[in-house]
Amino acid sequence: MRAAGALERALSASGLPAVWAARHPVLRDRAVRERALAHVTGSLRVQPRPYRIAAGLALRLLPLAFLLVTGRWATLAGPAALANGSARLARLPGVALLLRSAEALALYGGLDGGPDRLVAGAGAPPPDSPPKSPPVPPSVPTGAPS
Amino acid sequence: MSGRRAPRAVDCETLVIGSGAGGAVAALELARAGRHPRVLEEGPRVSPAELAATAPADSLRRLYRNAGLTPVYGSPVIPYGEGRCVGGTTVVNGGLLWEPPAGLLDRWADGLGTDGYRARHLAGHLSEISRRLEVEAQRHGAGNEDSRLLATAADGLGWGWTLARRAAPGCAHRNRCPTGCPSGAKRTMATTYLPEAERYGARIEPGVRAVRLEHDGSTVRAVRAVGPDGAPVRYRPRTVFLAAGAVGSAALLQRSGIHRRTAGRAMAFHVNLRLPVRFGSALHAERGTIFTAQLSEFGGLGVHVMAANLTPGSLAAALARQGPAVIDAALAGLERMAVFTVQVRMTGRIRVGRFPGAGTVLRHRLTPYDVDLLRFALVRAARLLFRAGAVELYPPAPGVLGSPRAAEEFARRSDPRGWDLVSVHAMASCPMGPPERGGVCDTDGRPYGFRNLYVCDAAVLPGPTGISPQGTIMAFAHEIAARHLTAPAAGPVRRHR
Repeated sequence: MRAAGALERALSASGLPAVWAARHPVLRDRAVRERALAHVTGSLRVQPRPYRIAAGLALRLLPLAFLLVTGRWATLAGPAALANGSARLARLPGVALLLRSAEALALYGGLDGGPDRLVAGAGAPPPDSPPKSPPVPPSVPTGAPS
Repeated sequence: MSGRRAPRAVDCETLVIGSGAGGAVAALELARAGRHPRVLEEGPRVSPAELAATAPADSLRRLYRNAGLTPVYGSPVIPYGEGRCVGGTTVVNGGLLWEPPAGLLDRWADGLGTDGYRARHLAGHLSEISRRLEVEAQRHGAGNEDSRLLATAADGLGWGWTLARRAAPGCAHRNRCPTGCPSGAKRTMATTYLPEAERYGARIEPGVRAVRLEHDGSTVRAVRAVGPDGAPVRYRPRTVFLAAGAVGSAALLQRSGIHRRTAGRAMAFHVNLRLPVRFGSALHAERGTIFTAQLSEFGGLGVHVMAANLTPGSLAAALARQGPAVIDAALAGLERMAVFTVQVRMTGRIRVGRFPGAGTVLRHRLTPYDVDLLRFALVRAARLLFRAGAVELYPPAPGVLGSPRAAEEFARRSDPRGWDLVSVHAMASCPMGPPERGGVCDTDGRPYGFRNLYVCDAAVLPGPTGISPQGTIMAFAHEIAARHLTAPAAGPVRRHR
């Protein structure tokens, strides 16, 4: 639980949620943003311990990095400055991959972290038990690519 | 006094480590033979009903190792996704069941001595697999216009394509293949082989992680594991079938000091590059299952093109590198979007290693051939998709392509070592083959020198398949299990205390 809270605090302190909201209208919706943050921290939480520690450290250093490249704290920057600053930050070696990965996780979690929004027709209800073995069908010709 | 708990001891006839495509086959065959296997699975057991009640993103974190983000270091860093749940990757794959090409099996047999695993030897197993999993040609659904367009374009270019064969009879097109089938239509190991194995006396143990094999160089005496509650467990089996996945099996052998220099040294893999595409008219690809048609024209090179599941989140994530404006436009016009996957077999290899404190570490190196092949694959895929009616194609690096010529120019100036690539297929980390050629296992699937240890998952394949490997893995596992069960008794394996 302590580790879980620490990741949430690190992400919040990093300024990234504000950057994402500035860049992506879809992440300005509160429910969507909460799902996004849950997916990012949830994904970090299941990483091996050294990666969790490194990710937490990187998140905590981001505000300082933002200050160094833009001259202002992310918490005091408006949407345009946030978007511009994150683009400049992404030019730092190694930071681009971190920012891009975190943003991709946020988008995925925000948009696919809720109930199915698109249900294809009347799907069969989930079975309560595994299906019984069917009668043996006729042999099926191989469809393997040559 | 140390606070470390003494491990709980469990005696068993046979132990299967891993419950994916290979482990489930071993479990069923051993159970049918009355061997009462215990099946250790590191991940959870999740029912179709639970999947139906869980958001896709939540399922992704729960069903995949490291939330699908295991890094393979190199240029580029490639996220590797594998299932970590009862049923393994079969729970989160597309349910494709391709039979290994006869030519591939012959090359392995002729070059690596895996005689006994040619097409005629595996035919019976493949028939049984098809029967048990109810494999059939996937019918187009209302949301498979992307696949229909691919097939039509291939016909127009005179390129070969194949109908998808899937273990998903009655597919309800819920479009959730990579995060678990909520309708139960997909025949995973969790819904087929494993329940049947339980009916014959197998015991599945979710949440149990095998950490080391205790052995004397020829006989596995015990398997040290950690239970769901974190308590240590020491299994004492007569026979062990290792099926922890290409990465996991190699890592366990390394940790256990078994063929440490060769296990995991050169793991084969495929990479996928995702191509989000905008068409001129509505496709509603989000209403269809994974794909119904696959370009097979370049299958001899290990290159296949097919549609992928489309959801708002996966589309946005695939376009993350293209910037907010592109993402917003794509989401606003979702009905005209599709995502295609280009699967490419690499000649470069992944080294499975260990780093103190970090556990398993994967590193790859793309060869110059791989770099050229990725460019080739992108250009051919672009030609196909523009022929299919695409108006814009988004490559795996910043940019927008509006024509096949633009794709050629992009491929010429762009370095694939900076592209966004993912991998979901790894194999041959502990390959069957001669030791002098890097082989770790004999033709019975046993690591050289061992009597009661078998490898029966993707790790034991002699090389990369170039196609989705589930069918090949299962056929090999059936053969390895059959050889074990029909081998003359070599005398009892002395159980060590």
